[in-house]
Amino acid sequence: MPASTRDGRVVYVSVTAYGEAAPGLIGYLEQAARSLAEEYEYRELFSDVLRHKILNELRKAGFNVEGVEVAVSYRCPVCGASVELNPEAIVYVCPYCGWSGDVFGRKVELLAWHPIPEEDAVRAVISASGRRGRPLEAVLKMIPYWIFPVEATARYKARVVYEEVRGKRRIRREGEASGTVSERTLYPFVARLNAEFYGDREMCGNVLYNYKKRPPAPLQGDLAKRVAGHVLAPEVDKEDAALIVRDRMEDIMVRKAKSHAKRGYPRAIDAYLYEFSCDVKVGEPRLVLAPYWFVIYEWRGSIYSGAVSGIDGDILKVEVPISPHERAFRLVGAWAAAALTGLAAEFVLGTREAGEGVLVLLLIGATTALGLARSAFAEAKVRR
Amino acid sequence: MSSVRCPYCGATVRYGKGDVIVTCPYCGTTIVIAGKQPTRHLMGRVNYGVNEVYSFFKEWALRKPEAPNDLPGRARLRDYTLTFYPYWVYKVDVVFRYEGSVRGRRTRGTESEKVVVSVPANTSMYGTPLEEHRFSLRGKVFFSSSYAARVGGTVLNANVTSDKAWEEAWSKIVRIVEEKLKARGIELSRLVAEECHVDGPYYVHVPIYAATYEYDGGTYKFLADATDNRIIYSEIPLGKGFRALALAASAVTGVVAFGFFGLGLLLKAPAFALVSSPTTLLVAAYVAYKGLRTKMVTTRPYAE
Repeated sequence: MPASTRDGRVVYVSVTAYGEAAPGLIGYLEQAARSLAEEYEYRELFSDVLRHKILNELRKAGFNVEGVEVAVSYRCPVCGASVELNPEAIVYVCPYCGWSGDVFGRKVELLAWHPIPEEDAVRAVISASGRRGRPLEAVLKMIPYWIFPVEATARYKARVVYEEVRGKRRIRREGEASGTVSERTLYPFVARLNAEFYGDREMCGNVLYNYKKRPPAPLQGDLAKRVAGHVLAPEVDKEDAALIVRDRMEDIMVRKAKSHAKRGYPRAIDAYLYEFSCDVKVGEPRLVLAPYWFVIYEWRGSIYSGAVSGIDGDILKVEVPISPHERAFRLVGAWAAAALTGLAAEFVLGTREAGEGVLVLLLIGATTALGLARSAFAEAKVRR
Repeated sequence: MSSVRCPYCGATVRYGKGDVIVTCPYCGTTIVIAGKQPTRHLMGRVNYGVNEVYSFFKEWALRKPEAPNDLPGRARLRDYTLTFYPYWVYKVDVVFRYEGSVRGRRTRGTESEKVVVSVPANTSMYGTPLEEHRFSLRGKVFFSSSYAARVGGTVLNANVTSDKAWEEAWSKIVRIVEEKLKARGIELSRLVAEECHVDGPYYVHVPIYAATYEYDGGTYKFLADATDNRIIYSEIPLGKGFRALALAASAVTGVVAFGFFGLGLLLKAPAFALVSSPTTLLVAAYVAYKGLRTKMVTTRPYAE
């Protein structure tokens, strides 16, 4: 039964009864489906209590039924198709007619880039890996981003710790700094609840770059139908996204204020803000679908991954196999680091001004040796 | 075991010692034994099947060099359980007034925070990867016992009251704000909530797969959120070839370490002997650790 829920979602609600068929039962179920949708919110439609309510009413009306099931799907307001979505989704592209809008049936203008062909994405990954790997799989995903115009201004007062050099001595001192820093930028935010994916940070940068250099076009017609099956439905609405963006911008402004405070001191070590106020203005965002290719390839029996921006074919992140020779070389490097640390210790202890320097030397030497040993057993090199 | 009569359908609902909230398995009604009534009883839907999660998991596991190359072919999913774990969730909008100092200079101000905090509602989840599991309230729908049964899930009852959970949630919020202010270099002397609006408690059941798979005679586990396919905890077998190689590399490194020590004594360079040799032994120990482990445990999400 097509209907709108109490919270305005455009859905199909179907009610199935198990038991004896009887005249008037279908009409009764249709009426139940319609009134269910109108009386309740979308998320309430999944509860057992509603099923029991219908079951009790059916029994009271004299129908001999054993059980009732309620199913809910979304309804495209243009072509009327039934669209199955996770309850988390808030915007979707109809795979039948290409209409894009929210779960309340309102049109949402989505922007999108044409994805580069699969062959180009695979070629880019294999070429970046530097190995003659065998491609196993390439998956296209259209990732939703909210692109927010943001303006932030922060006022601060800070204590700056810096070093002063007097002859051979270095003395730590503290100074005052105050000022105003501002930032005007675009902030891309992945509109998904589970926003982690391979190369996500790099993709964010790529989306921002391309949004400015070669803006996406409105998603319509054939492109919409073609990519609908690859679209990851947005799950974070703009209000929730704006809150998180505001919070992250505040963190950015804290870092910016600290760096601004340190600018006045050539040998600044750190800045501590004792007064900080930040005003972040988040403008109306655009919802953009960015094509992203995830490629898996095989090389000598092991599997490696690569991520490519489907906008311009840029490599975001690729795992590059480490050859056995390279691993052996890194292990020998760890031995060499240990030997060099020993030689340096021998040399430093031979001089009179050893002091704290020896401890620092030992620490650097051990860290380097362990780092090399660790890299000898790393899963792969990552090329960005 | 005790029992209570469901106020909605009249069924007898049995529950365990210490349970504070039970859910009627017939009509899904939330029955409070002790503590406050939750604002809503919600649940996450099972958006991913166990085989789907298992395929993603194997693909990710194989990317580790330690994992045997025949893992996807030889590993067999032995069994799994789907459990709906209970959490107390609060949406909190709070303004704190703080006082403190920055490098000896007094400072004061206000800090506002809007957070969604979740706390395990069953003590068996404490100290497990489920304790810090993060999820969103978006997409959570009204609880349905019949749905949980249809997808083969069991529902774990709460044995932590919402009042007790709120204490834990509040300390989490305070920690968040303290860390935020500490990042600015502020040493706090006073932190007081000035305004606080709490939406909740929401009683939320999150579907989690606990799966066991077999490889080469050993059994390994992983936990995954069935709503968003996030791997919460996983054990991956280490390939025999890799382990043998690491142990051989460790032995050779050990020999090199003794070589350095001997060389130092021979050349009358004691500092060289006493520094190079232990540093190389440290490397040998690390490589031996890599070789001696039979499995690796990771709690990072799949995509990382």
